[in-house]
Amino acid sequence: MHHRLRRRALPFAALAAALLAGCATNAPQDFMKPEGPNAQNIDDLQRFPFYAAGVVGVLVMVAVVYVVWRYRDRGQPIPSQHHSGNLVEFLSIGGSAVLLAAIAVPSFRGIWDLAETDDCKMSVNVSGQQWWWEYAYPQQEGIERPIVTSGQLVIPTGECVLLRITSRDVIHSFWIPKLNGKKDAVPGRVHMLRMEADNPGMYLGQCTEFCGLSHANMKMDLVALRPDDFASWVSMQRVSATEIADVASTPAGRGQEVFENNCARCHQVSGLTDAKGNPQIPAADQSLVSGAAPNLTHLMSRNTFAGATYSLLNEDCRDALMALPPEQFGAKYLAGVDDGCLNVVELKEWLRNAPEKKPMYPDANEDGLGRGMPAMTSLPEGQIDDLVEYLKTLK
Amino acid sequence: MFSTGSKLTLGFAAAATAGFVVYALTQSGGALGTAGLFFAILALGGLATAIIRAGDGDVSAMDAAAVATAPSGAQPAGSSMWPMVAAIGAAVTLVGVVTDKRYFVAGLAVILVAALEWMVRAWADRASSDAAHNQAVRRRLAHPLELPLAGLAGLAVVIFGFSRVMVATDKVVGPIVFSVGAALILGFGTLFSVKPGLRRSLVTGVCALGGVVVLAGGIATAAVGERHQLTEAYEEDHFGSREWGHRECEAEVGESDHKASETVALKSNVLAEMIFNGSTLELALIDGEVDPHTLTINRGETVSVLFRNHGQGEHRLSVLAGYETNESTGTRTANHFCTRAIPEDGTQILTFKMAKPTVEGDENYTYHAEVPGVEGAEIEIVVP
Repeated sequence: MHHRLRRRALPFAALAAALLAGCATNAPQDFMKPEGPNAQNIDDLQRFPFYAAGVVGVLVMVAVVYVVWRYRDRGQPIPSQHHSGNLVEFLSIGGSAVLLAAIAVPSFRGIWDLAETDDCKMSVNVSGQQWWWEYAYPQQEGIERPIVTSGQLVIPTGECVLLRITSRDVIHSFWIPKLNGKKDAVPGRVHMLRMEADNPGMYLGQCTEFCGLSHANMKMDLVALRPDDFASWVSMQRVSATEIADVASTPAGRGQEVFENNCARCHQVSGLTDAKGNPQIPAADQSLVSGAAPNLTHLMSRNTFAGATYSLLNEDCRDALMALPPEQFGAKYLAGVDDGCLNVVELKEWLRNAPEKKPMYPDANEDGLGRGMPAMTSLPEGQIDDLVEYLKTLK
Repeated sequence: MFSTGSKLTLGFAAAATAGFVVYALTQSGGALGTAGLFFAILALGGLATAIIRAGDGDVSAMDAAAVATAPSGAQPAGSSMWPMVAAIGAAVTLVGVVTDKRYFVAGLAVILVAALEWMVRAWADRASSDAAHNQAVRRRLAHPLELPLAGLAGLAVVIFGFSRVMVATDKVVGPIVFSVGAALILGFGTLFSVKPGLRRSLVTGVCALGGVVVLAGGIATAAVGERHQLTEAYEEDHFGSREWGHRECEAEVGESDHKASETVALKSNVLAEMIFNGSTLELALIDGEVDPHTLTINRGETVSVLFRNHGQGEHRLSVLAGYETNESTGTRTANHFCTRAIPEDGTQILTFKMAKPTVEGDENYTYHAEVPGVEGAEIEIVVP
C-alpha cells in the first residue's frame, strides 16, 4: 500500500518540480524574459506558435479522450471500416497548411530582421577560446584607438552593436539568452550577431557548443551601460596601467615583480616595461594553443576573473550590484572592485592552482602548447598575497 | 648442415650486416647505431655458430646417418622463405630504432606478415605427408586473405606510379599521354570482353605489360621529379619564406602568379575586403561600419581578407606582420604574408595571423597591408 502510494506520487512530484522550476526568480539566463529588441523579436516569434500549438494540442487530446471514452469496448460488434470523407481531409490538410503559412510569414520576417547588420553603428570583435571570451573594440566613432577586454562585454544601451564572432581554437557558441539567440564561433570564419540591451545591467550567458573540459565553466557577461557611462568606460580602458618603479618597498611593487616573472609571458598589462625600457610583449603564442591569454590591464574594472567563471566581487557585493535599479547600475559598475568587495579567497585559490578551480589542460602538448593557465603551486604564500595587492592596482 | 633455427639466425645476421653497411654509409658512421649494429652482427653470428654446432639442440640431428634414414629426417614438404623475410624485417626494425620511425614501422609490418605466413605454412606442412595436399590446405586458408591484400598492394603501386607520371608529365603532353593510355585500356577491355575465347596467356601478358609500363613509368618519372609548373611557386619561395625583399611579396610578377585569381572559393568567409583602385588601398568590412583606414584584428587569430585589384595591370596584396630579430646573429627579418599577383578586376584571398599585439611607436610591432610598388596604397592593421 505504502509502496504503491509512493510509486503513484513520483510522477506528480516530477511534474510539480518542473512546474515550480518555472517560478524561479533568480534565473538570469531565462530567454523567456527578453530585455532587448532582438530577444523580444525571437520571443514574439515563438509565442504565437506556442499558443497555437497549445490550442491544437488541447483539441487533439480532448478529441482523443472523447473517442476513447465514447467508443470504448462494451462488447459491441466492430463497426464497418471506411475512409473519412473528402471534406474532413480537405479541412484538416488545408487548416494545417494555413496554420503553417501563418507561422512561416513572421518567422521569415524575424530571420531577416535578426540577420540585418546595416543599422548597427558599433561593432566588437568577439573571440572564443578554451575557455574564455575576448572582446576587441575596433577603432570607430567614439573609440579613438582599439581596446581589448575579456570576460565582460560592455556595450551602450539602446544601440545596436554588431558582434563579429570567431574562435582561436575549437568551435564555441556565444549566447546571452536575454538579448539574442546563439551564434557559433568557428575558427577561420566570422559570424555576425546583433546585440542590444534596453536597460543598463548585467546579462549573463554561457557557451552552448561543447568545447572541451571546461565547457560548462565558459561563461560570459554582457554589461550594458548608458551611453555616457559607456563613454566613460571607453576612456578608462584607453589608459595604461601605472608601472611601480620601486618594486621592493610595497606589497604591490613586489607583486608586480611576481607578475612580471610568472604571468607576463602570457598576460599583457599595458604600461609594463622590461629591463631595457621596452614594452612587455606577451608570448602567449609560444605557450598556448589559442595563442592568447586575457589582457589584465583593467582587471579590477570588470568584476569577474578566470574567464567569467568566478566573480571578483564577493557574494554580497555581487548580489547588491545585480539588484541595483538601472539608473544606479552604471556608476557602481564604473567604480570597479574595491577592497571591501574583492573576492580574495577565490582569487588566491585561482592564483595558487588554477586547474583545480577550473579544469584545464595546461601541460604542453607535442607542439609545446597548453590549454589554460598552469598551477603556480611553487609560489610562496607571501608572493600570492603580493600578487593580489598588485592586481588590485589594475583598475 | 643448416638446420631451421640456424637459417633464421643466419638470416638475422645477414640482414644486420646489410643494415650495418647501409647505416654506416647513409648516417656518416653515427657512433651509436654503427656500434649497435656491429655488435648485433657479432652476437647473431656467434649464436648462429652455436646453433649449427648444436644442431638446433636436437641430439639425433648430429647423427648424419640417422637423420638421413629416420622419418623425422625426411625432406620437409617444401622450403620456406619466411624465416629469411622475418629476419630482414627484424633487421629493418632494428635499423629503424636508431634511424627513422618509418623503417621501424615497416620492419614491424614485415615481421607481422612473415610470422603469419610462416605460421600458416608450418601448420599446413604438418597436415599430411603429401606435399600437394599440404599446399592445397595452405592455399585454402591463406588465399582469402592473401589475394585481396596482394591486390590492394598492387593497386597502390599502380596508383602511385600513375600519380608520379601525372605530376611529372608536361601540361601539354600530359593530356595526349593520358588520352592514348585511356584509349588503349578501353580498347583492350573491349577486346577481352567481346572475345572471351582469347588465349589466357595473351590476356595475362597484356595486363602484365601494362602494369610494368605503369610501374616503370612511375619509377622513371619519380626520379625526374615534378613538372616545372608545380615547383615554380616553391622555387620562388612563394609559400614559406619570411625573408624581407623576396620577390614573391614584391611588385614583380612571377610564373606562379598565373591565373591566381581563379583560386577564390565561393564559400570563403572573409573579415574584410581590401580594394585597390589604382592609387590607394581601401578597406570595406563585411557588414557594419568602422574606420575605413584601420583594420582591427585580434592577436593569435586566423583571419582572411579578400583582395580586389581594380587597378591597371597585375598587383598583389602584402601584409607586413612586424619584424623578428635573431638574438645571436642580430639580423632582422620581416614577417610577410602576401597574395599572388592578380590581373585587373581579379580577386584573391589572403589568410594570415598576427601573434603579437601592436605597440605604438615600435616598428617591430606595427603592422600594415600594402600593394607593393604603389606608394600610399596602404592600410594600417591594429592588433589590440
